[in-house]
Amino acid sequence: MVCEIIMMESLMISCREATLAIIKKEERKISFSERIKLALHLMICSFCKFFEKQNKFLSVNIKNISSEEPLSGAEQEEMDKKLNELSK
Amino acid sequence: MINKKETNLLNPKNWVKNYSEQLFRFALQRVNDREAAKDIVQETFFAAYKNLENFKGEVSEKNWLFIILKNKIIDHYRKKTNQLFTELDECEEAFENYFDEAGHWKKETAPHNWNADYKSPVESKEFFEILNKCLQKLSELTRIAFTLKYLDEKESDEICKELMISASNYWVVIHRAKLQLRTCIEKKWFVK
Repeated sequence: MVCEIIMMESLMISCREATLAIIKKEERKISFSERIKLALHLMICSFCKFFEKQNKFLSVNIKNISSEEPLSGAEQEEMDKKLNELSK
Repeated sequence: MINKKETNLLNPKNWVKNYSEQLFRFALQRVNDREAAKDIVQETFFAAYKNLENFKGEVSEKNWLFIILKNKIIDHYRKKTNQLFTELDECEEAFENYFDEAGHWKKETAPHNWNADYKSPVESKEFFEILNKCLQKLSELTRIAFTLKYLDEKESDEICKELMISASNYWVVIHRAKLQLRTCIEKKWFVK
């Protein structure tokens, strides 16, 4: 009986640990026992379930960000000038 | 000093004209600072010029310049991460914004339902503007780790090596960043 309770306790992880496990899982950097603990946690925690979906959503969309502001002609000329000075 | 084969392949006179745009765009995406990106491209040209003799012709001129550029970007990251190492000490405070002492979500910052279709790609320009703004709020070290992880799709081991940080520090940085980013997007986009 006591033994079972200890078993249960060691299988319980906090939301802080669960969110880290979710992030590590993306890179397949979690052990088998961590995966079990995470699965159990997700069965009972709706916040972390949201977090899991939202984390994945963010990972996908971060890749699609781009900030474009091209180099101006003047800036290119300046670069060229500096490079030419070096080659003299 | 420069043998025929090499001069055939490298043409420094045309470097700026032919490659500065591409090199700059690549650098800007990764350093998030226009001036720094410009400096990195200029340094790349300088370094390339000084190393003309070392060019073996095994890769194209363009790829060769990109290899140098990537090294310059990593140098830039290392300089930054050395400066910003102290920020890791403040990490615990950041986590306290999200979790109580037992490690459970705090009410104010616990995830809400976004009522969104998480799986289909977002096409709204506005969304990306907001995502960009949220990313800008993160620390430099975090943005660097994010860039390497998501833009360059590098594995954590490689990122740790490049930035000379430990694996546990890396996970702390990424963990905290995801929490911050999630909250920011939720507040600014999903649950206004």
